[in-house]
Amino acid sequence: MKKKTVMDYISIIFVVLAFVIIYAPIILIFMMSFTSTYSLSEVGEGFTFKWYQSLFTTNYESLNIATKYIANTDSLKAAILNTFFITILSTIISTFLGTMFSIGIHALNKKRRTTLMVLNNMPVVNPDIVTGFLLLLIFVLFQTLFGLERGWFTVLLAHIFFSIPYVVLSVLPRLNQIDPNTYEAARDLGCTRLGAVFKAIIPSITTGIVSGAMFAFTMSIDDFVITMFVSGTEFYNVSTWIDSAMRRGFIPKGVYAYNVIIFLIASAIVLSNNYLQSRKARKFKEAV
Amino acid sequence: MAKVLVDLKNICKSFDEMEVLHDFNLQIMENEFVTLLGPSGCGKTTLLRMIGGFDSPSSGEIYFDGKLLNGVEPNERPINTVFQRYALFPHLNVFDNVAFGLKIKKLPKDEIEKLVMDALKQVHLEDFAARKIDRLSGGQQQRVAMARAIVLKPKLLLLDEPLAALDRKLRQDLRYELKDMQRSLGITFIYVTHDQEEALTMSDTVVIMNEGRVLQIGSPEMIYNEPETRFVANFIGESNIVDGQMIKDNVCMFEGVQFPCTYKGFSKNEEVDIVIRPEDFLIVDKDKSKLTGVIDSKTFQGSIHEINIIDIKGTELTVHTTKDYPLGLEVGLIVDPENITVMKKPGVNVYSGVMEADQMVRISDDIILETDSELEEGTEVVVRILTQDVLLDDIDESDFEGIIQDIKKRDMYYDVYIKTGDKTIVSSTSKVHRVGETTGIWVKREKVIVNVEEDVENE
Repeated sequence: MKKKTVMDYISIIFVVLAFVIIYAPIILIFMMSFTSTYSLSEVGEGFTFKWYQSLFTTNYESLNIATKYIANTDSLKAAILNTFFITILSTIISTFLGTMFSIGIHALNKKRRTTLMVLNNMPVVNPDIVTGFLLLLIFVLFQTLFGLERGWFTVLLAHIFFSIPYVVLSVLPRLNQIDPNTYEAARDLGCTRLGAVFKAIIPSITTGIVSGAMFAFTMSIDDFVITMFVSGTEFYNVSTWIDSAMRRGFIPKGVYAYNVIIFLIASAIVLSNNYLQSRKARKFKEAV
Repeated sequence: MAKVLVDLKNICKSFDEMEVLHDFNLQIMENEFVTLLGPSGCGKTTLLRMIGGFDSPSSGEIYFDGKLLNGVEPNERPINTVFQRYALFPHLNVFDNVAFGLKIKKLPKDEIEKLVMDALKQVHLEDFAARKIDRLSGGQQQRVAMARAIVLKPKLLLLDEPLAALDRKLRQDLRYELKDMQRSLGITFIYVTHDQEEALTMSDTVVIMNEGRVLQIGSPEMIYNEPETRFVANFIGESNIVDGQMIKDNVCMFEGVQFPCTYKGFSKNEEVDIVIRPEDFLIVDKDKSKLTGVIDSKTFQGSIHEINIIDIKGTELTVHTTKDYPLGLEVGLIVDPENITVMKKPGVNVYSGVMEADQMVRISDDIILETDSELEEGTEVVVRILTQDVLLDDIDESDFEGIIQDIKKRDMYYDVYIKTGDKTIVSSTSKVHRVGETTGIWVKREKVIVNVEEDVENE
């Protein structure tokens, strides 16, 4: 066997160090979420599930029925509901609009398509702080013009706004892959204009749409900067809520539980996706 | 008598100022297998797309079965298309792809099933109904595309290079299948291809196109044996095209040797192009023919030998023969009178002119044209414009205008003589004009050919 050199050892140390730095906090959060005390120094003492329960039980009573799902309360549970409300709605709307936008861009000639793609990519490369600030200016203007208060609605609009470019970026490449005559073939076989879009084009690009929706979902669920700018004083998602809790010098243990759940869901999606991909690749190999 | 199914009248099409089709006229009969043949960019696919309803002509009318088709949506036309890369729907299996159009028509389920299975049987894919599209070979996909189109029983089927993506052997097999299918279904086919072999083997009628115009329409035999222009002769099969003269009726001359031929009606000693196919030359002993040459190179091509013979004057002629001959041998060539094709040289307007500033050339006080030539201002030049490049249009769209003096009918077009100031310009056009009419005239700048020359003859 080849003798290991000093460089080999150094590289191993670096790799181990890198993984420790990434995964240690996750492990810490895991442990804290099951620890009954609040102090970080007492990690692992008093095993409990109560923080997980707290996510689903706390402060039901304090919610006004009318604002149950878009609650203006300072509870974590309300913030979680707000987050999912905004994320799911903005994902659905931005995926729909982004898909339509992509199909429209795709049908244009090259020059116009390039122009629109530059316009589309601008918000993507723009730092969140700029986007957030610009949106804030617009919403302030809306407030003076139409009396639109900042709250769940402005947050929803903002999330739709910053998600659409990501949907376009994942749908458009798929559109470029499908047969250029797909739309015309559907028209030729009797579809109306709209029918051809819904019966032929959209079913052909579902993989792009799904990955676009996943993009939109992940962009929205953990957004902090832009939400911070446009949410006003009464509306929180989890990120802005944790921020304001920290300002008061106190992180409720439910935050750990929430993070663990989100981490597990994300890992499950990544792992199952990997599994499906490799199974597909294996099947393909067998077929060939 | 056969009925006219598709009638294309004066179709013009431009994309961003680029003229793709120029005053295109064509009639297609019922149950005809018509092939539009031409190099890429000749406008054949655009024409097909206009019949299918995916593009609309800039001007001109399309009639189908006597009814005007302009403005009718593609889903309302009794026409179906087989696209170049088939455009099958990847999310549906073979059965559902074929059933797609029937489902839109909202036919009952059992009827759809029967029709789809019939169509699949016709293309020999009945065992593949449940297959996914990406699990099919190219040839099978092509058949699914055919089935998807014919299941709707269209009166007219458009095929846009449907065999182009397949390998050679499969292409040849499918040619016969397509032809058989066309016969048994009794559907009119319009087939677009740039492959002359495909066109000749399958079609009843071949339409040869170039630069948005019809060059020749005829049966495959006609097109092959009697090409009317140099372009057609070159495009269809291999050809020897040499300069020659018509000595008198039924006698032509090339390479200094007189040959009997079957053409008449030319003026005495008129300069012509002579076309002879490589397989129509016969190699004989050198003393048995006046046309002799030395074998310069040869290649074996399976069934034939291709032999290049250099004639005395340096002209290279290509001969196909089944016999092998040694290199360097001096041989004679004979050719059957029937196999000599004589073509009129394309008409050309020749003027003397002077270059002006900014790449303009002055032919007369009334005619100043743009050109690609970058000769210096004041240079005396000869300007040549082929009659087919002289376009007639509305006066405000054109470079200059003139009054039509005379119109002469040719085979496929008219030669229109127009007087502008003291000059006469000839335009070859398929549009009908009247003598005495004032017309606008324009020439694309790249078609204005400018040369410096000493000796100028004003025609």
